[in-house]
Amino acid sequence: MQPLFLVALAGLALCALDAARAQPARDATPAWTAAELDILRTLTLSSLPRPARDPSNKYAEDPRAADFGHRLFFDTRLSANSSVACATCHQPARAFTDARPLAVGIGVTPRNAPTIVGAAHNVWFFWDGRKDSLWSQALASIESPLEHDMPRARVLDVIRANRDLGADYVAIFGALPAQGDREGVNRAFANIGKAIAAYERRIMPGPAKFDRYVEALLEDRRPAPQDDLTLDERQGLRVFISDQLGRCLRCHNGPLFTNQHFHNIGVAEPQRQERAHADVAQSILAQGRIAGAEIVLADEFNCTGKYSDARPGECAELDFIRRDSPELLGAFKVPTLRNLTRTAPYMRSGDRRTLEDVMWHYRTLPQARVGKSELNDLPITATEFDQLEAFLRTLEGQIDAPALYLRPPISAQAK
Amino acid sequence: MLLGLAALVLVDKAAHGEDARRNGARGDHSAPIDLHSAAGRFRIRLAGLAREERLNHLHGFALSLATADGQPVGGASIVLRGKQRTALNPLPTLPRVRPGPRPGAYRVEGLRFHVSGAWLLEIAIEFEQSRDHVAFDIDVK
Repeated sequence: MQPLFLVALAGLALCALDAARAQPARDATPAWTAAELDILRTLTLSSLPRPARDPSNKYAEDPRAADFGHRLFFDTRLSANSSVACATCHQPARAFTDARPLAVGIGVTPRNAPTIVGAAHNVWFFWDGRKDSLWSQALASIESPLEHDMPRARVLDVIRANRDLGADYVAIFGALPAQGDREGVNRAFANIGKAIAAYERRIMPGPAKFDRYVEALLEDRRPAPQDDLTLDERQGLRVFISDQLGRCLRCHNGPLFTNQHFHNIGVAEPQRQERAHADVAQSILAQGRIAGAEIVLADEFNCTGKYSDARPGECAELDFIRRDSPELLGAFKVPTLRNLTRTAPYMRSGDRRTLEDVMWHYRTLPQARVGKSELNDLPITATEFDQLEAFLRTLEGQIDAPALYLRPPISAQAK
Repeated sequence: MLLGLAALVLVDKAAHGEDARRNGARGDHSAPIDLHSAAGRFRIRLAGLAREERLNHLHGFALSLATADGQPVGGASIVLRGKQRTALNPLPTLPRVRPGPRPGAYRVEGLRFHVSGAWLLEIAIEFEQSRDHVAFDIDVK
């Protein structure tokens, strides 16, 4: 054998040894079982179906409505002081949140602003689920004194007074109602919400490192180096999906990592609320889903209401709604875990500044002041909590939406 | 309230194993689930519900009710309830059972599972002076 060839072989062998040394931790993790792979498949974005049709909004898939909704979403004229838009609290660069503990519009609201990414898949809206569609949620924010503080009649005045908005409205929905036509104003106000919803439905999560890693596993190939989970991330994922360890899937399941339901995990009302109202625990706000269910059933803009486009029998979520059930007291909606690194601070009261703080919540298990917390002591170590946090960071991905929808429309930029 | 569930579960276990084998492939909606009520008064057939069901999806399925000797039972009052085996939370929805087009035919609508794992479903039946129920397991993936 030629000496040069032997040198080359020795070099190859050394390279192989180096490669093995470079990834000892990865190779030390046990392979995923078939049952675990089945679970992982359910969590990837490739398992996310197209959003279900919203029977209450016949404009939901209308591209003209989405474009109009995009303009409205960024338009501060739809607020009492012309300084607040939907995008004030739902900023594209922050995965459509605002980095504040509590959302700030005209005033300080009592709730952390949730992301709208993937909201087309939501069943209920607001933390207590007091709305049953994206469009009716938007209307509530516009009229809330702490958010836009804009009564519906004034919203229509703004649309009428501004040719750009008025022309778009008429092209999509037909003539604007006369001032004082209360029924017409209600219907037109609902249309404003439906246009905003048409825009929001197009804001979806894009693949994250986690998705690419699992796709590689399912295709029985090695993930690209940048998509391969570290040992800590893999261990965190194992804890996450284990019903003996993290039990996270009980609430955070499916490709959006939420079961779209309501659970009491002992989160307190915001300290600001606690200071301002000694009896905050007795307030409607703190009752969670048990109050939210009653509110949505009575809502004039719900799926069965006269401003909905749904036909009889198409509002299944309202038809089969659970109410008056003890576990719903103090229960709030499970948020998505995608893009967590851009959506701090956390929890409905925004008082968990970091993911580490969130982990601490699950380690310390605070008692609920309203209702009963469902959390139990988890048999996982401090290191495993750190690994869980490492895994959660792999859920960060781009926003999947037309690029122009991720920035203010030209008209808003020019203002 | 789920009445006498512990006893029901014991009664149903044997039938469950048999049903599971009869149902074949997991998540198979084409094979019906056949059940006998705890006191043996009714035979129940569920078509369109699988022993392993999907998460976060509103389910609807057909329920056929007959007496022990196979006569269809129309006009019964039927309630479906369920709870998680582990956390004991109830179903996130309130399913309803409506009469179908033929005697003994009913339609169950509005069943959703929001947590994976084992669920215990109970069907309570009231017909004339006769009451009975059956409990069975569903594995939610």
